[in-house]
Amino acid sequence: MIELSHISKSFNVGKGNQFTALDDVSLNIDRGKVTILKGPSGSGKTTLMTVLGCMSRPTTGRIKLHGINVSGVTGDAGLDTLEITSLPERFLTEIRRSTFGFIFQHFNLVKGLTVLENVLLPAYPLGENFTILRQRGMDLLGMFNITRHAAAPVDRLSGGEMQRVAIARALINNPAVIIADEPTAHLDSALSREFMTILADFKKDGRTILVASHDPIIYDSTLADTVIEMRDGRVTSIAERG
Amino acid sequence: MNRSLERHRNILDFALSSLLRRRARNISLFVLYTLIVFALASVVFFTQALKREAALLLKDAPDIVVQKMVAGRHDLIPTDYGLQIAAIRGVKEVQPRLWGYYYDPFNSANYTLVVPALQPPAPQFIHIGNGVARVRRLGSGDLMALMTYKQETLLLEVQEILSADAELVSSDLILIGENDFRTLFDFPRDVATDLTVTVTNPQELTTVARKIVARFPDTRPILKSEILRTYDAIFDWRGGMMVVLLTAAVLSFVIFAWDKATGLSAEERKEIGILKSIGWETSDVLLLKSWEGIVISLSAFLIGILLAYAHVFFFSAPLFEHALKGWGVLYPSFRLVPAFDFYQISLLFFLTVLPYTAATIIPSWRAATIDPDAAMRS
Repeated sequence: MIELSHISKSFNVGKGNQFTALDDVSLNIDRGKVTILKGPSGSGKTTLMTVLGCMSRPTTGRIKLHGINVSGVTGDAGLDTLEITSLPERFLTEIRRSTFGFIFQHFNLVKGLTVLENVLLPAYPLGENFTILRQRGMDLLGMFNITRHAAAPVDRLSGGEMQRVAIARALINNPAVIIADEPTAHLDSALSREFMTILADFKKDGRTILVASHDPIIYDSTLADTVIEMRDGRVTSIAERG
Repeated sequence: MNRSLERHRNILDFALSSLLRRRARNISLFVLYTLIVFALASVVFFTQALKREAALLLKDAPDIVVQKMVAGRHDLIPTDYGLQIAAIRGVKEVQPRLWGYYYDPFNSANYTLVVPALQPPAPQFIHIGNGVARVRRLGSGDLMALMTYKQETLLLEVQEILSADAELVSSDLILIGENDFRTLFDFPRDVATDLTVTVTNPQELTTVARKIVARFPDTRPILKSEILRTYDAIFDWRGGMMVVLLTAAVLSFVIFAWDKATGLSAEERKEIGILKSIGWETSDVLLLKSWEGIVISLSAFLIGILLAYAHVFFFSAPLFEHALKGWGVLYPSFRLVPAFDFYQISLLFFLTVLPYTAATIIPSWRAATIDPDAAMRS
């Protein structure tokens, strides 16, 4: 589904403090599978996720999306393949918001806004009818059992509840791929297991899941189909399971 | 509803809840903004209305007023000058005018005395303005005592109180007969205060004026257009003076607004990063920030204009009255006729709403062009 070939990403290119976060990474992310990126801090996991999720461009290499339809963006005729590294920013944004749902380590919720508003945020620029959008938001809150907090400011919630809001927000545009960066870093074990249950449901729905983590609850989970280990910006091993 | 409209609606909705989140800051900004627009719009409305009023007053003014000068000062003009001026080709009519001021020491008031050309009051009778009637507590049929220049009391009966509608001109006015006027001021028989000249062809006004000066070098003809220009200049000057006074307020507002609008807090920057990371384009962020700016500036502008309109036209501008009206030109307590100058208001709009909105957008644009992965790294 997502094909990376010879991806490198360097920061501060040409300056004294240049460093390479990704170094010649090639891999495939399969549709409907759970892929875990494992490795210590600074190994390049987050950078790889941002490149995969069209948040930043690689310095070199190519990324191809297979079988993903994005309105206004057409792939190679008949091949159903989209090479995204050379697309202008506008198209990247379009792909990002229609294909990927992001769950951030620090949740990245907007303080002061209500739970429902936070969930609806990614959909606002799409110009969808507000009544329909609101209903979808409420359905998602219902799915994660936080409907009662819909009108409450998000900063009044507990850590676990905040994460559920962040997950609901990631799902509002019904993305095919969920990207989660260290999702359990701020959760206790019970909440981390609850998160894994939610991931299992995503997998059942046929979504592609990509999680960066150095939490054993995640990378040792039976849910993982592929575990990619990274160190110093390179892929050191790829383990296929089940 | 079409998607683009829905997009605007959704983002506007979000802009409103964003503004409410920083309630104290935005309300103080809004109040200050409204006050500035209110003050500036009041000046604009006021000067426009006064200019209009003056123009209406002067509509029936004579084409030329001829004054006699002595050492550069206004002097009484011999009435036989009028006969000779009437003989100039192109002059339709010449009328001597009698008018002057009377100081009433008991009430510390100045009255304007005029002998009307048409239907002057009969001897021993006067018509008085509302202001005079108020100050002297007079009604129709009462007697008014004036002290002549020969220290004799002149008793005149009030025949009529002038209509309150024309208070701007008539408040301090006393209409008096010619003989009583001359007795009161010990005014010689063969002179007048000035002469009014009506010309057959308005195109010849300057030619006639030139001929008058050539024949009587000791006179000064004043054209109607010059009077209008003087009025305009006076009101523009007064309006300008107010604007200068208000500049300090405007400047402090600009500094305040600039600080508030441009100083994106770390939290706002972070929010923009979050929006970008969850799929907002730079243009979406800019749309949000422009809506935020427009909501504050446009509503403050509209409310400021409405308040100024009420202040000037319903309450006669009590805040600026003294600075703008001045003595000897106009008189207090009259209601202005609403005058709305679209050009001036548009100018005010472009000077207040646009800079503020720009001041809001530019820093946001800078923040919005960050890479969306910045939020991922925070």
